[in-house]
Amino acid sequence: MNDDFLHRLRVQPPLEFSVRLAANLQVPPGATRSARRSPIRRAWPALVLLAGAAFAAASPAVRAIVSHAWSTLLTVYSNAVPAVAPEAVLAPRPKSASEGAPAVPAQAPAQSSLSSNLTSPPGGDTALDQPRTLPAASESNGFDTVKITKAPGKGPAGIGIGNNETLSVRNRSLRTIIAFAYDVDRGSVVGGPDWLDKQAYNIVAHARAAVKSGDDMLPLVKTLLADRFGLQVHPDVRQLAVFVLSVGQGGSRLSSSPAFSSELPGEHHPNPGISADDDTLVATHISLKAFSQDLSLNMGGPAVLDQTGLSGTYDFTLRGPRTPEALPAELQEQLGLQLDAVTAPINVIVVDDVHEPTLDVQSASASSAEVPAGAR
Amino acid sequence: MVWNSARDLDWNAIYADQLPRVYNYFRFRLGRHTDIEDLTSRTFEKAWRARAAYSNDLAAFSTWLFKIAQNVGTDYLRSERSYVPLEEVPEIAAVGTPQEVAEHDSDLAKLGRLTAQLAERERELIALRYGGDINNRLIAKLTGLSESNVGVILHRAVQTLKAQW
Repeated sequence: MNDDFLHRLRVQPPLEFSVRLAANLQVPPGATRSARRSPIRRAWPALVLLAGAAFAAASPAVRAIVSHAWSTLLTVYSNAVPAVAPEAVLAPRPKSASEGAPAVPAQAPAQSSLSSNLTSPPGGDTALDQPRTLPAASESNGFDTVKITKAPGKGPAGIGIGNNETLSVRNRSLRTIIAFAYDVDRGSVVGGPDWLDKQAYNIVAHARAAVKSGDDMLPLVKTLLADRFGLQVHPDVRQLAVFVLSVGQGGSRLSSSPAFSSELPGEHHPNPGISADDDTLVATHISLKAFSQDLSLNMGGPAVLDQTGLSGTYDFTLRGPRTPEALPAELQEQLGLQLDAVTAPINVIVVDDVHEPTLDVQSASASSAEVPAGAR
Repeated sequence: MVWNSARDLDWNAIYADQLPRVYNYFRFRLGRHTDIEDLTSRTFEKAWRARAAYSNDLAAFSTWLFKIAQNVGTDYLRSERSYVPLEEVPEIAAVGTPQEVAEHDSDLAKLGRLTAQLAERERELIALRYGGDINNRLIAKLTGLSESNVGVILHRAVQTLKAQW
């Protein structure tokens, strides 16, 4: 079987990543990629002596060339590998760092999925046993302008990202915004004062530069929460009552959203979203993950985990009151989906510290309520 | 390499040996460069977290690690984000960045495009065999298929890819 073309696609992980992950795992430093070249490492002293002897025996012209090349190499290396503090190595790099978004300074590591998965192993004996309190973010220059105002809490609400550069939060509680920033269900954000749920906010923030995807916006949202709300969190695992959304025994009754082709003139991409009143929910081009999050919001907090295994987006209508009591039967009957209440260990985000923000609507400045992100 | 129990695990050796395998498994599985480090990190951190539960009567460590990687990959593919936008939020631009365009030209992206035409099971086997660099016997354990079945499926999948490469 001629499969060389596949073998050739394998690569070594980036050294920086190997070192960073090793630090997170408390793997001995020798386990990084350079250490795997053990024969070379063992031969290193002999190679240095041999090179020194060759250099001494060479003509002055050759020595001058070698010296120049060596100094150039050292310069390039020192520019490419800046000195980092140990805690900088421990800091997980945000996904966006390699994709054009601002890097997060190491002295204030951002919480990420890398650290959110850490829990204390039974009988563990490492630094991982002590959950670290992480600032929500450290990058403070992600947004050009930020406007935060209080919202009534009733009426249309949502969170979205427009043109990969505008964060728009409408009428959402801070707990919901935190859940969005940390990519968890609202019910997975635990702790914090009462107003986290009771007070709703509007936020409009324009990123300094467009990000590559919605995911890349999340580090910036964490920054905003840290800067304006003083948010500090840490990851943990808790036994929580949650709902699990799965496909019912009779199979799903969902129909996929119609295919969209941008090639056809006059065809417009339908705006994906969920609109709902008390008795009717209409979903357009919605994934089951997004639907689960919406259900969680409607039921007042418990996380709804999407375990349907269904990918893609769907158009559907759900009729009836969306309460924890009524939903299971409605979902089963109308959509062929099953909703079960279970208690399970859930990765959560624990709110350690947070304060109410300075509201831009109360700012004495200017007719515009928008203020530079760095000018607080 | 043999590890007897969690207490005996040589994380130095495991890390050096397994990191490239898991890393490449995700590259092959997703057929792109993004999110690979994150998924690899999740896999190793889950293994680390659960190491106390590992005992020598379970499958070899490599099997266990790749089972975690498979689950991490599956969860990821199922939960790729879909935002619910606000009414006011402008439609999200669909134009690719120069980076994306360049990525599409790479061999990895080419593989991603070709494997997208394969069945889910074939994609998984290709990723395990050529990304994870693991043998058919181990793949059989991971997937529940027979070793010979793994070989047949892989052979057909590689021939399909080779014909379009």
